[in-house]
Amino acid sequence: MELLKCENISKIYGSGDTEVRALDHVSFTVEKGEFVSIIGPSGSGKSTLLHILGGVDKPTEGKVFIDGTEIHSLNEDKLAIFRRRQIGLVYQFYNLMPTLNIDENIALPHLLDGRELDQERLDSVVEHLGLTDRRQNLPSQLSGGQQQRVSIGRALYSHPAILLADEPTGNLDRKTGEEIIELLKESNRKNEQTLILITHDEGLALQADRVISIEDGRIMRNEKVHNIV
Amino acid sequence: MKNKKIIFKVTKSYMMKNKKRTFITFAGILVMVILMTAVFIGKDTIMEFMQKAVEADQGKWHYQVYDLDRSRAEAIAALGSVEKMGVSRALGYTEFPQSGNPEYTPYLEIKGYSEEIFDWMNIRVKEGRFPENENEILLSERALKEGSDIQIGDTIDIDTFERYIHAFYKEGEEEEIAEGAEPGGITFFSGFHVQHGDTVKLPDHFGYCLSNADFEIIHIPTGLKKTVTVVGIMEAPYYEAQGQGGYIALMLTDGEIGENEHVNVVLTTDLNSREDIFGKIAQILDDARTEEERQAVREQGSGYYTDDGTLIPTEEGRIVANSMLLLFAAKGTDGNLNALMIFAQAFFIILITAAALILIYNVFSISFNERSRYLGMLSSVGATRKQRKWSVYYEVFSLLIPAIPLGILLGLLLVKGAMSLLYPHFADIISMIATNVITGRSCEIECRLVVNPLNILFIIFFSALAVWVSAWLPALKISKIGPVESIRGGERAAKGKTKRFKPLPGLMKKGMPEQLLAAASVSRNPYSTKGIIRSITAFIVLTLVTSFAVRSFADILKSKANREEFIPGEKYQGYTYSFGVDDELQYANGVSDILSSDELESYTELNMAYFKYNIAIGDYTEEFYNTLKTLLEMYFPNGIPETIASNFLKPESVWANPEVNMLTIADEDFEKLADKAGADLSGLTNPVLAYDTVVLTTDEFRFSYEGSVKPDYTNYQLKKVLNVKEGESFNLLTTDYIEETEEVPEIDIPVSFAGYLNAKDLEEYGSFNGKALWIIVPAKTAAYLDSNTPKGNSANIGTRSILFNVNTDDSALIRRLSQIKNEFGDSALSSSAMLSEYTDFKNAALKIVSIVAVCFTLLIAVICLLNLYNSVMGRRLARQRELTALASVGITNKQRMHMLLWENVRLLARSFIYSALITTAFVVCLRMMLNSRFGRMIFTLPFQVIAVTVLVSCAGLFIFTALCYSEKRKSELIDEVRTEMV
Repeated sequence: MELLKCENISKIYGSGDTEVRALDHVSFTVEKGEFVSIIGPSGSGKSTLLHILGGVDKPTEGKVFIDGTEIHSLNEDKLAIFRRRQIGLVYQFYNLMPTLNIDENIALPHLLDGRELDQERLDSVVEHLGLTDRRQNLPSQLSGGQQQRVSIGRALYSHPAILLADEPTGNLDRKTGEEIIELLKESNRKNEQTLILITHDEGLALQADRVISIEDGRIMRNEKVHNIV
Repeated sequence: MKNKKIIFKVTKSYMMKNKKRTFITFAGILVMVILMTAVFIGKDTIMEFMQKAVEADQGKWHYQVYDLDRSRAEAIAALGSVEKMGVSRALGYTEFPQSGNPEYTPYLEIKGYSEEIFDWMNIRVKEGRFPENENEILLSERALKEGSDIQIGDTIDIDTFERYIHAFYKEGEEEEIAEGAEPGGITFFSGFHVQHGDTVKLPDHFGYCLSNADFEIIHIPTGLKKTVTVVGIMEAPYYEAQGQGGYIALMLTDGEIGENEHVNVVLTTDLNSREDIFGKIAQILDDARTEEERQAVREQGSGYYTDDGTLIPTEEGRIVANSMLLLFAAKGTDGNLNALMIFAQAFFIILITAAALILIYNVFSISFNERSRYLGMLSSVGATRKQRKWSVYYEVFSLLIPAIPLGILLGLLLVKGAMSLLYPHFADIISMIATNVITGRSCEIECRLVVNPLNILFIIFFSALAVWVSAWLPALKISKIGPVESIRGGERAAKGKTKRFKPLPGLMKKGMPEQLLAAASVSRNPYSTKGIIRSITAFIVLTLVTSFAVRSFADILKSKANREEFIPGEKYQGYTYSFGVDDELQYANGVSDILSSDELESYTELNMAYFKYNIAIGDYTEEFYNTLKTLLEMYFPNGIPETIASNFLKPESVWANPEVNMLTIADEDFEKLADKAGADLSGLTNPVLAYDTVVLTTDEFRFSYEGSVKPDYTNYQLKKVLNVKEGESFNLLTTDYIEETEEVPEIDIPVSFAGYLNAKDLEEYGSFNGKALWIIVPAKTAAYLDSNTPKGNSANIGTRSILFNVNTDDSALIRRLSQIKNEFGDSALSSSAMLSEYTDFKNAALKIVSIVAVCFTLLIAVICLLNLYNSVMGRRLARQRELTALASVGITNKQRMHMLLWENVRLLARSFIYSALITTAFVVCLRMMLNSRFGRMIFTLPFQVIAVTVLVSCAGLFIFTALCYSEKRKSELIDEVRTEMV
C-alpha cells in the first residue's frame, strides 16, 4: 500500500546568478512499512528532500502525498498536527528539547496531541532503550548515543506512520551507530513504520529494502536492495 | 596585546555574525551612557534652572547683613568665602506730594544701592534707565499704578527723615512700674512690639500710621536734602509690600563706608566653599557686643547653632540668607536639608548605576551559551583563560567607544527635550508665584543645558567602570569553562553534568504539555529565565524604591519647607475675590451686601481659626505625650527645665495645653464627611470630627533656652492622638477675663467626638498640617461654641472670609467692598488667588522638584523596560534550538502561545516574589535611614504606583514576548534546523 508519494518535487534557492537547484523534478513512492535509504554525496539534495518530506520545508514546485494527504496544502497548524501524528524526525544532532528530561522528551509529541500519558508504554520504551536509570536526566547530561536513543524513543512511543532519519549515526561511533540502526529497524519491523534513512554509509544503506541515490538534485537510481546485491 | 589580537579578531567576527545580539549589547551600553548623562547633566541643568527661578523671584544675593559699622563690614568682606560685597543704605523717608494714594502711602522710602546690588536684587527697569549718579532716582512702578502722575525727567525735592514711634504709658502705669509691675506695650499686626514709654525706630517697610492716643510717630531728619531727577520706573522690588507707608525709590550710592556710618551689606559667596558663612558672620556680630547686649539678644530667644553645636546669639532678621537659592546650591543654612539634597543626589546616581549594571550584566548573562561555544572553540585551539576573559572585555569596550559620544549626545538631547516639555509647566508655576506675590512682576527664566566638562569626564569614567564591573562576572564565568563543556554547549555544562532537576510528573500525567514545557523551561533554563526574572525584578524594585524614595524625600521637604498650617483645597478655589475683616459688624454688613447683590455669581465661605481652643493634655494619647516629651528631651538632654515642663507636659494654665485649629463647614457637608469617617451622628450633641494626623517636629518646637542644644531635624507623625473614643465627649478649653478682678477663669466647652477623618476624606477642603490638632465642626456646633466663648477673647478671632465671583467687569459691589479696610489699613477685599496652592516659592519649588522626580522615576522605568525587552529577546535567541525541536515534533501556534503564556505567568510569579522581598528590604532600610536622620515619619506605601508597576511589568512581558516571538515560523523552521545541524 502506497504511503508516501512525491510528484515532481523541485526546490530552488536564491535567484538569478545565485540560483541553486537543490532538487530537480524528483518523483518516487514509498510503501507502508518499507525501509528506504537515500544516499548521495554532500550537497546532492538529500537533506532538502527529507525536510520537504517531513513538512519542515516547502518545495518550489511539486507535491508530497502522505497517506493520501497533500501535506504542503495544509495550513501551518494542520501541518504541525499532521507532523506530530504521522512523522517522526530523527536528526544527526538529536533535536531534543534541552529543558525536558528523557521521559518528557519521549512523551512530548503524544502529549502535544492531547492524548493521555500511557505510563506503562513509556516505562517499556525507556527500558527497551536502556535508559531506565537516566530517565530524569536532561539531554545535555547524556552521551550522544543516549540522546539519539531518546529521539528514537520518541518515535517508538508516539508511533508515527513515517520515520525520517537524517544521518542518525553521523555523530556516533560505529558500535553505538549500529545499535541505533537496530532500534530504527526494530521500530520499522515491529510497528510497521515506514523508515526513510539518509546516510553516507553504503553498507548501512544496503540494510534497507530499497535505496534511492541522488546526485545534483536528481534521482540517479531507485532500486530494491536485492537487485543491487 | 599581541597574543590577544587573534582573540579580538575572532570576537569581532562573532559580533559581526550575531548582529542582533551585538546590537542588544550596544543598546544596553548606550542606554547606560544616556542615563549617566541624564543624571549628571540633568541634575546640573535643573538645579541651575531652579537657582535662576529663585534668582528671578528673590534675587542673586546670598546673604544680607543689617546695621554694620565699617570694621564689622570689613571683617565680613575679609571672610574667605565672600566673593563680593555691596553696600545698601536705608536713606530714610521723604514726603512724596505726588503720591496718588496719600491716605496710605504718602512717602518715598529711599534706599541707596552700590552698583552691583541693582543686579543682585533683580531691579528691573520698565521705563528709562538706572541712576548713574547720586542725584538721580529710580521709582517703583507701584507709585504710578496707585495714581501718581510723576514722569521720567520730573524732579523730587527730598528731605529725608527716620520714623520713630513713642508708646505712651497708660494712666497710672508709671507708678505701677515703679512698684515693680511689668510695663505694657503695643504689638502691631506685623509682630512689631513697642513697650510703653519706649521710643524706637520703626522697621523698614512699615505701614503708614498717624499718632493717636496710644503712641506718637516722630520724624527725625537725617540731613539728606536735595533735588533729584526721576530717571527710571522700575518693577516693584520683591520686598516691596502693599501695605508699606512709602513707595520704594532707589539711588546710586558709594560703596565706601564712612567711619561712623552704619550700613547694610549684601553678599555673594563662593557656593563651593565649605565655610559656615552664616556662623562666621554671626560670630563677627557677636564679638562686637558687650556682655549686656549679648544677654539682651539671648533673651530675644533666637540664635544660630554652628556645626559643632555652639549657639551664637543673633537678632531675628539681622542676617538674612537667600535660603531657597542656597538650598538649590546645597548650601542652605539648614544642615538637614543640605544633607537631604546630597543624600537624594547620591541615592539617584547609585540607583541609575545599579540599573545600568543590571542591564549590561543581563545582556552578557543571557548570551552565555552562545559565547561559551565560540570561546570553547578558542579554548580548544589553546586560548588561555585570560585570553578568553579579554574576549568579553574587548566586546564591551569596543562597543563602549562609539556608545560614549553617541550616548552623551543623545543624553543631552534627552535632557534638552525633557526640559522643553516641562518648561511651560515650570514657567506656569513660576509665573503664578510672580502674579501672586508681586503683582504684575514678569518672570522669564532661560532654560539652558549646563554641560560641565568635569561631568563629561565623570560620565566617561563611570560608564567605563560600570561596563567593566558588569562584564567582569560573565568574563570570569566564561573563562572558567573548559573547551569540552563549551563545545558541548549549554548553560548546564557550567553547572555540571550530574545536577538533578526537579521532575514534573504531575503536569505530564495530567496531559498538560504547554504547562510542562513552560515549567521545564522556567525552572531548568536558569541563565535565560534568570535574565527575565532579574529584569522584571529590577523594574519593579527600582521603580518602587525610586517612587518610595521620591515620595519620602518630598514628604520630608514638605514637612521642612511647608509651614502653612492649612492650604485650601478645591472647594475654596476658583473664586476671584476674598472678603474678610475682623470686625464682626463690618463682616456681617459686607457679607449681606455680597449675598444680596445681583452681581454675585458664586460664593463660598471659608471659616477657620488657628489655635482657637485648647484640649487638655490628659485628653491626648500616651503616644502623643511621650512624643512631646521626647522632643523636649532632644532639646534638653540633661533634663527638661521646670519652666518648659510646666508649659508643655504639666500645663498649669489653659494656654499651656496643646492648641487646636478649627475649620467650620456647612451642616450638610459635615454630615457627608461624617459618613466618610463612618461616624454615627445620631444622639451626638455638638459633634466634632478630627483630622487623624498631627505632626510634631523639632522645627515646630524651637528653644534657645538655657541648657538647650540643637537637635537634628526630627519629624514625628502621629495618628489619632485623642484619648477619647468615638461617641464620647471631651472639653474644648478657653478662658475668660474678668477685668475688675483681673482673673482668668477656665471655661470648658463639652463637645462630642464623632470620629477621625484622613487626608483623602478632607482632600477637597484642603491640606492640614502642623503641630496642632485640626477639628472640623458643623455650623451648628460652631454657633454653640461661639455662644459659649467669651466675647473679646482674642482667641475668638478667626480667619473668616467669603470667597466669591461677580458677573461683571465693572462691579459696583467690588468698588463698595474695596473701601472697607481692616484696623491696619489693609483692604478687606483681596484676590483669592492668594489662597491657591502656590502661596510661596517653597511650594512652587516643591512642585517642580516633584515633577522632576516623577520624570526621573519614569526614566528609570523606561530603562528597566528596555532591559526587559533585551532579556526577552535574548532568551528568544538563546532558545532557538528548543523552538526548533518543538517545531519538528509538531507544536501548533496556539500551543506555542499557551506555552509562552504559562512561561510568562511563572516568570512573573517568581519575579513578584523576589521583588516583594527585595523592595521590602530596600524600603525598610531606606525608612530606617531616613527615620534615624529625620525622625519617625509615617511613610505611606504608594499603592497606585505598585499597582501600575505590576500591571506594566505584566503588560511589558506579554507585549515583548509577542514581539520577539512573532517572526514567521515557516520561514525560520528550516533555517533553525539547518543552523542546528551546522
